[in-house]
Amino acid sequence: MAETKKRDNKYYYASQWSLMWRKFRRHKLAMAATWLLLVFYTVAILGNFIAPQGTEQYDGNYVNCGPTKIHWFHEGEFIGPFVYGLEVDRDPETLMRIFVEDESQIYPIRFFVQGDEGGEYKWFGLIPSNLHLFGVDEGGKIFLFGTDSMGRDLFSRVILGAQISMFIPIVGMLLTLVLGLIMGSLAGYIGGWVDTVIQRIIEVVRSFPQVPLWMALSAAIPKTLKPAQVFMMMTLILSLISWPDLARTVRSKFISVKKEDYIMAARISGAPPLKIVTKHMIPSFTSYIIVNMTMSIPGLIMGETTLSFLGLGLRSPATSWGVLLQETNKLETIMFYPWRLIPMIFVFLTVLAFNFMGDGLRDAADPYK
Amino acid sequence: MKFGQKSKNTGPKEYQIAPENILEVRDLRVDIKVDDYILNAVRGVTFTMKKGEALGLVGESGCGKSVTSKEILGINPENCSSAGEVLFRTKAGQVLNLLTLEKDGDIYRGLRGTEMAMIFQEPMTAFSPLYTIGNQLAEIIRIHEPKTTKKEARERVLQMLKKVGIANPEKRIDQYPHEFSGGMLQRALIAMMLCCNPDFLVADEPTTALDVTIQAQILELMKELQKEFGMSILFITHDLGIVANMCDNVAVMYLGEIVEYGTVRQIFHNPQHPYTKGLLRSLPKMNQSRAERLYVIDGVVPLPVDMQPCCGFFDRCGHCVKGVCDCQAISERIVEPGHYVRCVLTEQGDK
Amino acid sequence: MAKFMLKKLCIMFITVILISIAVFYIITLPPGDFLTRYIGRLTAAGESVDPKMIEYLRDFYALDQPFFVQYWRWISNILFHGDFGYSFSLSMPVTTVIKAYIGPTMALSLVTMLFTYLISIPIGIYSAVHQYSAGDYLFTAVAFFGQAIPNFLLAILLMFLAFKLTGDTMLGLFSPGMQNAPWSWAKLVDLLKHCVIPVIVIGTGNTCGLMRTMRSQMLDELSKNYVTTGKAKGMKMKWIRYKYCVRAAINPIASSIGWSLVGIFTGSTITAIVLNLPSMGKIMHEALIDQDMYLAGSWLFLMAIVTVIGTFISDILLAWLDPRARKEYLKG
Repeated sequence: MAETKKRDNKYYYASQWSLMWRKFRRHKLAMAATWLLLVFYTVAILGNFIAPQGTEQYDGNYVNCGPTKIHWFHEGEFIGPFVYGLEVDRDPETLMRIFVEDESQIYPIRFFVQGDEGGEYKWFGLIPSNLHLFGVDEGGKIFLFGTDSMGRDLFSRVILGAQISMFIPIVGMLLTLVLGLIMGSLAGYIGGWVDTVIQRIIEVVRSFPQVPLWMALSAAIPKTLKPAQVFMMMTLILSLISWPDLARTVRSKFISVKKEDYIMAARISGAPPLKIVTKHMIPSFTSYIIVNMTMSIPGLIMGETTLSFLGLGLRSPATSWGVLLQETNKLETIMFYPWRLIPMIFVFLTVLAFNFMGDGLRDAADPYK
Repeated sequence: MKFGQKSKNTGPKEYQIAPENILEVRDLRVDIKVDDYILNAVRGVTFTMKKGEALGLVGESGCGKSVTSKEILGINPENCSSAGEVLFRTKAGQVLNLLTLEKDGDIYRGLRGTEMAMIFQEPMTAFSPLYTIGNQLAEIIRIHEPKTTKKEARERVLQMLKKVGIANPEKRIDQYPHEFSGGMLQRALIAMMLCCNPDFLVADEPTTALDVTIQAQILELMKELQKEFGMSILFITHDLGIVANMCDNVAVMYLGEIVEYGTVRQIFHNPQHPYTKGLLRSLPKMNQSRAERLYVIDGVVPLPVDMQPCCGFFDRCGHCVKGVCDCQAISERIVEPGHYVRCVLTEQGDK
Repeated sequence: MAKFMLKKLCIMFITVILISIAVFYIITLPPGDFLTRYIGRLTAAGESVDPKMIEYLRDFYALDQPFFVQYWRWISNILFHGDFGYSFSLSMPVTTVIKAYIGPTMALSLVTMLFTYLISIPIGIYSAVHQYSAGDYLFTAVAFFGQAIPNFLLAILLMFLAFKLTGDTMLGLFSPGMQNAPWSWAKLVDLLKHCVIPVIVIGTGNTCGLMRTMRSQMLDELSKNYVTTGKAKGMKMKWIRYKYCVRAAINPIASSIGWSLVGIFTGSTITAIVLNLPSMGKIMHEALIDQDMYLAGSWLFLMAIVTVIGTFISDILLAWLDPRARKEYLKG
């Protein structure tokens, strides 16, 4: 009984956030999704270290090579993970170039190896290094996801692409958040003509079909810009188009919260408007905003991927998942080199994971369930 | 006739209740499944109601009074499960155990609206905003008396609206709920529920959401209607003033149990249970001096999760007997005929 | 009601003006004016450039004038002459291009929309009524997958599957042999066959989204107090669901038709590009790659206007369906 009582009190007095966390933890899919995303982001951040090759490395001898098989046993004997050497051959019928395993050459997979020339990178942009998580000795090749038409390692490109494809949405979301919060709270708090003007702007932006507008704006990005600049332009475009939704939500929340007694009380007691907004009004729907923002990330990911896929966003040699998929646009590529679709799995998983996480957050934030 | 599990095993069972009674609730238990735990919302409630009687069911929020009454009508959500017996005498004189009936089945639905009805705490949300008041009122007549024409139903609705004191019913009948005030909606809700002349009415805090002046009007209206229709009313409230005004008998509920039951006179003049006493002491009195603060019962109602046999009130009670109140089920004691209490102090001769 | 519609129309008018300014701004966004690019393109192709012609065009589009003069030239040409400008990549007036492609585009969009609503609403209702049943879980899973897969990936995937299963990639709206054949039963069947993939690709995202919305709306309505009232009245659960809950849950969906149209246009644009459909999406894409801004801008403008009209229809629908909204609108 004593235990029951303690639990009761916990339910009665738990803060909003611990209640949310408790509910979120129960949502198994959302928890799994969160873990998956954590892994993805960690890998992306450590990308240069985990990827065996750098963005500009390629090997013309190994063009369109399928994923390398990792073996554990050689002639029935366990010798740990290793790959066989690869030999170029021609398919007797189609005369296409194929790669066959040469079972006489054994290259064990080694960890924490020095990479080849071109694999240099800087830890956090500061400490130069060429250390890579894994690799094989000179002469051996390991392509976990195969290679592309230029002989670049797809596994490395997927990881390095993640650095762009997974961070554009985050930066875009933050920009959206700032824009949406400012515009929404101005419209909701001040009201009057400010509200009218902002509402018109929101309506105008929302009247455009999203993707065509993205396309039109991206097409206007000068083709001479550096990848980093294109990256910034793209996040800017994505957030310029997605802020109205958030602003609308914030505005309506503001209007409904403004009528609450505690805001009235704060006003009468002479709290400055900025303090009322930041201390009392925004916290009352923070959870709502978090959910909203999480749910908006999948759209941003798809935005980047789609634009790059259409050739309107980042372009090779810059690497993003969209760029990788753009290279598979031709049917023949998919027919003969199906491993080139591997980046698709990652787009799909990331979007799915964000959706699940958003769903879990929404359920957790709903006070009436 | 379709019967539930119980009757299937033993064959159709004849239920007996005292001839003057319309309702007997015997050891009713209701569990509500919430997320991953189970709330024992009602933990063995027993009471009877005579024809024409007004019984007040009193208690704090969350003590199970609404759940009890909704279980009688069979309108609890699907995450509730119940046990016990709820015996109800129909207009035709048949006695049914309502818990064995299929909730959405023809028999039970046939009872709701015609023999038993309920009015709710928040009239503003009790109507669908999408249809006119007239449409929603006429509906209850047309469900139970399918032969009624639309015109006849409308005529009856108009009469009913007039009866509950809605001015200008010809205009009001075609309006939507949002065009009504709270008090007017409560009147319309009462009109709707009385359209088919039920014998038994549950009034679930019908005045809580209304202004004080409107409250008095609605209560007056209900009193008149009770006299006119001769209904039994189960009056759910946490306002003891309303009970004194409206009811014959009172049942005080705490944490899913009836802790004290008696006539209004017995409860108000000779309360036995510490909880009842606390409730009465927390009523403002006319002659109370201003410096005196209103009495407050310490603590909050705990959540009824994993309830062990005990007195539900022990952790808030000033007279709690350690080793008894907190670990034993407390049986009912008779104070005088018609006055029962679940408290060990009574037997020990508290006074 | 008339007053309400009039007010809405006025707001619509202002929105359209603002949209046109935004579109024209986008048209002028790429560095250098389009004429310079046009000349560059002609000289690159080795064609001679007629200076008189250039002078005429520069004057006609007021290219050396400030932004708003240029804008006025552009919009007045549209308003008074129905002239949307000149597509330099296709060497013909934009109006001609649009006329050629608007039919198939609209047809495809409307078919998709019909498909979207017919599927998502019943499934949403089913999922809500049978919450946590096997069927609900199945549809929820499908909805999540459908929402997580970008249109173009779905298109590639289905193309791949179609090729594997039938040996035909189902590109375009007709098989190669059927393109110029006279209309016949076989041609219609061929067309329908080729419509399957586009409709699925364009519709999936929206269908899944609407399914989820319908489900959560319906769940919301099912937990409202009037459901208890209905039960207390002795109504059948089924009847409560259809008369009250579905009717209430459908309102926000009906009012989202305008936005739904946007989604479908969006989907159709990309799908058209991947599947090589003769719709405006593909033309728009090519125009954008070439920075042929008059063509792209005009198309954007038209789509935005369709959306505005869609929104207007939604507002009217909502007012018609929901008495509370009706009252608010009537008040002004």
